[in-house]
Amino acid sequence: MRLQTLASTPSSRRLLDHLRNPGAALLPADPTGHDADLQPVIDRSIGIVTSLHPGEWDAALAVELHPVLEPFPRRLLANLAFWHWMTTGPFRQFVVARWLATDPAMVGELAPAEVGRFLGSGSLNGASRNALARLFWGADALHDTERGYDLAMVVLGNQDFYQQIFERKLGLHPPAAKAMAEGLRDSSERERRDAAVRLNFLFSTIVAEQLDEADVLALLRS
Amino acid sequence: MRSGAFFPYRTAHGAVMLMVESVDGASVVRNEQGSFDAWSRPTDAVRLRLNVHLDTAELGRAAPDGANTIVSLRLDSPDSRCRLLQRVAAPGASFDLELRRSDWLGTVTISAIVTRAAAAAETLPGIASDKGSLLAESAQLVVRFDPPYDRSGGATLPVRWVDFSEHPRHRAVAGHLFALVEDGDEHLPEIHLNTRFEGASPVLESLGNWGAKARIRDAVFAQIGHQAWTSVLGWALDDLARAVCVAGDSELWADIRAEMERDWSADIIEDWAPLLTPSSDGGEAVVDLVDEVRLNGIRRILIEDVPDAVQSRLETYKALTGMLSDIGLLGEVE
Repeated sequence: MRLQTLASTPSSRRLLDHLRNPGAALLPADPTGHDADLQPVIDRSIGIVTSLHPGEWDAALAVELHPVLEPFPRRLLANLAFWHWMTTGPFRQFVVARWLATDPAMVGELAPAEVGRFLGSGSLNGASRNALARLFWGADALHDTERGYDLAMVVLGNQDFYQQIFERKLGLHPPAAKAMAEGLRDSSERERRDAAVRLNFLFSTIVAEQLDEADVLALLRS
Repeated sequence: MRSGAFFPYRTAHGAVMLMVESVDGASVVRNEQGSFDAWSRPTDAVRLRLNVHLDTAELGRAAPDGANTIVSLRLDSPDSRCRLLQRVAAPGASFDLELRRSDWLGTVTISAIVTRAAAAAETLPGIASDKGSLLAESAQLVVRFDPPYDRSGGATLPVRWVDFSEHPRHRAVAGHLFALVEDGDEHLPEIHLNTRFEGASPVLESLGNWGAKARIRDAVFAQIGHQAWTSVLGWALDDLARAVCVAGDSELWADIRAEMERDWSADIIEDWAPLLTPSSDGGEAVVDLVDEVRLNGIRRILIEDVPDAVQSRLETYKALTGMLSDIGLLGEVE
């Protein structure tokens, strides 16, 4: 399948019209020059929705999506217009099932939070809310050969935990993201929030990029 | 941006300097902010020859315990979802940094930094002790792989830099500065700026608020903004006039809106109606505009109201005010 980027960001009304008409043509998009074997992942995403508990959908799709897209250039993967195309095109059915409370045909307008699941800006917050970008980047930062996708599954299973890590710049340094996931996996929501705030403060004077996972774990436990 | 004032320990930011000795790639243009635009004429990679100067005596102020330190380049790009360090093996010696376009999106900020290599055995008051503590940071260098958006007077019209000589729509006007392009009924028209217009990029992308470049930039954007919005509003008003006819007796805005051919032109009518009918009460502006179109057509609106509305919204008169205030910088005016 040819990977594409949406040519422009649709208005919320245009997006809703698009979602109401599953058989309609896709939103206009530009080619990227890259091809990926996405069809098995699209098929799997539909299987996930029909066979698993909703709380398991994100993690289940992330482990399918990440290995297929990981080889592509960062310039493509960091471009939110690519994820806009993914959410409104190939994976529209998954995103509608995952994030819309009501059938698009039955609602007058989409809530801003719902629009953000399909679209979103290129900011950390925008990528963290886009239904598919968040899965890819969460899996990308948290997987390794030793633990596989174990940490990604823990974090993607809890929305607040995900946001505490990936809506901060520290989430862009994988060892820091992994340390938070590992060190706080059994913590309460309050403890995770407090730890994230404290770590973020420490990184205002300590250069996070110089630290490995063990260093960050030590900071979390200090 | 350095934030030395907020460090809970002594820093020595003046101890490290990052210097650019050369830049590979004709498409890279250094502008007045010390940033490099690597998007006007994209190449596969930007190659910078850099040199980091270190003042060890000055650095000693921040690390009086003789701590081992590390000198690195810090590359930071939230746009690319990337932050990383690259060790500088020999401060004072030239070295090359290659940034491949495929690895980066948007803006990359580069600085030279000095950090503690390890935690201190014992803490000293006012002295950094943690591993990785930032002791010194140079001024930042910015490389842009993509143009920043929405700096033009076009407000919400999308702007894109295009090589006119290679674009089928613009080839016949390859020497022009800008063009307005329709991209189907579903999209707002785009403003295309010509990358081949000699010297345009460093001026139009300048970030300052004063001086010749800023004044010229504002004046050019005022010109582009007026033309673009006059065309787009004309287009939207024409669509409205046609929809008013089709809707017949209905005076409901929802009915008329439904008859408009383009979503974006209906959005523009709603957005600009208060400026096109300044005597209306806020919520009634669209209704008053529809009445005016129904009774008198759009000719008077196009000739009289559109220029007022564009000036009000874009405040384009401020471009001249700014030029007059900086007249000494711009040269004599007869």
